[in-house]
Amino acid sequence: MNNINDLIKQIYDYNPIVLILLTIISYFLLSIIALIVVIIVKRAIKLNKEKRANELRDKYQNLMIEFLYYDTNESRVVILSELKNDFNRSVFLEEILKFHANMSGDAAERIKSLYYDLYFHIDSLNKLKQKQWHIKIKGFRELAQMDVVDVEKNIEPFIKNKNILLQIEAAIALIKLKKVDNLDFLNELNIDLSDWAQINILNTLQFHKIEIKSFENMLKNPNETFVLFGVRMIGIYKELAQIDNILSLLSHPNERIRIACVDTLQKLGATETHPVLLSIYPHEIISVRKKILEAVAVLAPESMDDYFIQIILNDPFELKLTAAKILANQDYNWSYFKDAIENYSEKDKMYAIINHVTDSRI
Amino acid sequence: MEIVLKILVYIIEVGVFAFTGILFTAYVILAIFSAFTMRYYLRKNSFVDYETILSSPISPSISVIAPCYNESRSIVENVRSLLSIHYSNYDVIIVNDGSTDDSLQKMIDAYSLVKVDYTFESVLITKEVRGIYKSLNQSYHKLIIVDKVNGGKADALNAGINISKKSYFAAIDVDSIIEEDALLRMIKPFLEDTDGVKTIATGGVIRVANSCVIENGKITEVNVPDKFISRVQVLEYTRSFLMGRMAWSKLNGLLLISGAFGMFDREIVLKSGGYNIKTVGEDMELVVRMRRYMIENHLKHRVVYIPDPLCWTEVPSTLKVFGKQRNRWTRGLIETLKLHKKIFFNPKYGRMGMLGYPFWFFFEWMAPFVETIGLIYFIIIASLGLVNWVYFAILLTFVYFFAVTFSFWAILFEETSFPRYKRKSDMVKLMVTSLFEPFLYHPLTVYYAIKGNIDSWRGKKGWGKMDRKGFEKNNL
Repeated sequence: MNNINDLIKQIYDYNPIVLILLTIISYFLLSIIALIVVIIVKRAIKLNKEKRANELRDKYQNLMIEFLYYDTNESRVVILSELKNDFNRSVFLEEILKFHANMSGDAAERIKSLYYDLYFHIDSLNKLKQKQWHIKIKGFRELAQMDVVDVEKNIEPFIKNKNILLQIEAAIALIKLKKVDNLDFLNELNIDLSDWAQINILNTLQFHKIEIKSFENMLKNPNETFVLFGVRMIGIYKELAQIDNILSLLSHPNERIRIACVDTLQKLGATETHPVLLSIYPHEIISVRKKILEAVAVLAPESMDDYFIQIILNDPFELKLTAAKILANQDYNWSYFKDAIENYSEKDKMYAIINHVTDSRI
Repeated sequence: MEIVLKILVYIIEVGVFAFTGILFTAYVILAIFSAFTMRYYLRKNSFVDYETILSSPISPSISVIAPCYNESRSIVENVRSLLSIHYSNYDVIIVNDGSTDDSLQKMIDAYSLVKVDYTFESVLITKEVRGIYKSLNQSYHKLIIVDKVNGGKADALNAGINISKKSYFAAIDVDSIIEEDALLRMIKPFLEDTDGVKTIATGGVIRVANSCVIENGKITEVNVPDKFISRVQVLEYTRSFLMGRMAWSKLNGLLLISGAFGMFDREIVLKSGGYNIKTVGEDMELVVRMRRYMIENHLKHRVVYIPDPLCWTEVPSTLKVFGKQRNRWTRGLIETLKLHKKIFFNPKYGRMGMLGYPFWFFFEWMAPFVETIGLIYFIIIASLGLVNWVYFAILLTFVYFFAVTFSFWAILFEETSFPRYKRKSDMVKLMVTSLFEPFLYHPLTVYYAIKGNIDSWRGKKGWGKMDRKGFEKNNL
């Protein structure tokens, strides 16, 4: 006992750092115990939740199939009796959304009416009032997927939210819900439209077969990412009336926009623009020139063989290869070219390119 | 003399104490940053449908480049795994770096390969490419096999970059196992670029595959490694990836994308000069050089780390191989730090110069020295009978509990982010391992780091032979 007292006295006699260290050690010890408890409890809760959710999912899938194929009052009563708590409701909602995404026509409409009947649209709307932004986004997605009417006004304020993810997701939901033939409201966004956002917007347009009359106003946006999106969409949606606008953007300082413009002209089959493309070719950087070659190959009404041969002879490697590939795809007869380069200093390199582009395995 | 000794003792005691304090504080700050970044990431990706990338005409093209050296035992299986990745516009470039075994022949036989006249521009100088092979079978049209004279991993990667014609490339160790959706997840940060900030590289979590069950090139059952030395690396990787790199990514100060799996903007890599073949730490060196290129050209950029477990790799399971690996890592670190000493506390290089580089300098390179000095000092004063044992016990307990608490936090991070260990016993094993790590494992890492420093000083180069069990069996 005396020894312990001595030890404690000795510790107290030390400088305050020792006492601080002892306090921290006690904290560490307690936190290790707490962490063990948290890890074990968290894991148990999670596994239990997963198990319950899986059981419910199986059950609800059967219920949904019964509802879709037999639609008896009985099945509705069973469904109603199942939705007694929030957890069951959330699992059932997930199933409804999954079924709806994979159905079309009458079946999709009936799932939609079930969604309304069970007041899930209220659940989805309530998600918009939650503090956590990812829950709000979940709400946007549910409302958009089920085409809930008159909720645009609830989503529109988020277009000006500070959180850029909320802005984009709100915009994507509105594209589906607004049922308008233009995307002009996107110009209200005060953020960049990343490629990821563009992929998702395009996916929404294509998946829901939304017809957009014109992307012209996108081209007028001062933000380059919107211009890029507009140019891309004009190509994908074959908006022929925009050829002149696209041509005027060929001198845009942004390289990605210029590449997209050439690509769009190719997609639009704007044959009349190939002289313009040829005229800007010498002044362009390699990535744009490569795209121009690919476009010209499609757009030029007459044979461009001699032009491409000159590229093979004089331009950098990447362009030589592109030009050679184009000729190979047109079943060009290389014998004339091979004869012509017989005394050429880089003959071997030329032969290597020809062999590369004519080998169907590459 | 006495005064000098007293000053020396004071400097050592205060120095080691202050260093430890700052190191621990830095780790805690990084862990807090990681926690918030992780939460944001999990929320952000909770509603993401990666499949949209697959069908989009906007999605970029990717090359998967995997250097191969004497991988005969598992190469066929590993290539098959790479060919089954979910992505629409990608190819797989396997660079046979002068293997002395039958790796190439096995690939030729398994994939009906024939030599083709594939031409490319050698933007990066590499050892001679002896031939390029393509398959006669259309099912393997994505596969390109490059056979070249041995030049090391960096040289093989450079050859792959030369041959690639895609916008991005993923550099991977061919003996690693990649999750099917790895490319979809890794490419996403590149697609999210806004405000003129360009993503130049992304990295994901590397998980330990030892003791896992592997079938047809895929992990079918995740187990905690049986051997202590491999198991403790699970904790180490979790701490490093989930609690360290996550934070550095947020701070935009990440200097290392693991060589086992990373994705890069090909154009920026070419402009930066490709992989440095003169260092054994080519993965870190490339990231630092890419960042320097961007900063020196006034280009806004970021290096992103994502916490998804995308790549599984076999970690050393014997002391011999472990020692070689850590020795190499240390030499690689020293070489990178030396090559880029210009950025040390150089405000021109922003967070990389003021935070990232100093962190690696002090806490990765110098830490083993400080520990060793502390240990030598302790032995001297103990032999002179000058140790205050109570004080010593308190300090030791403090350090021990800090390390253990940190490991437990790492286990919690794993549990709340992307848990892969389904059995309760796996968690218990990891917890028990963390109790022994500070005594049994940590001294080894310090020892091999010091050895790496000595070897670096002596001018040792090269990787050393890394014997691995390989993935040819159902489990490792």
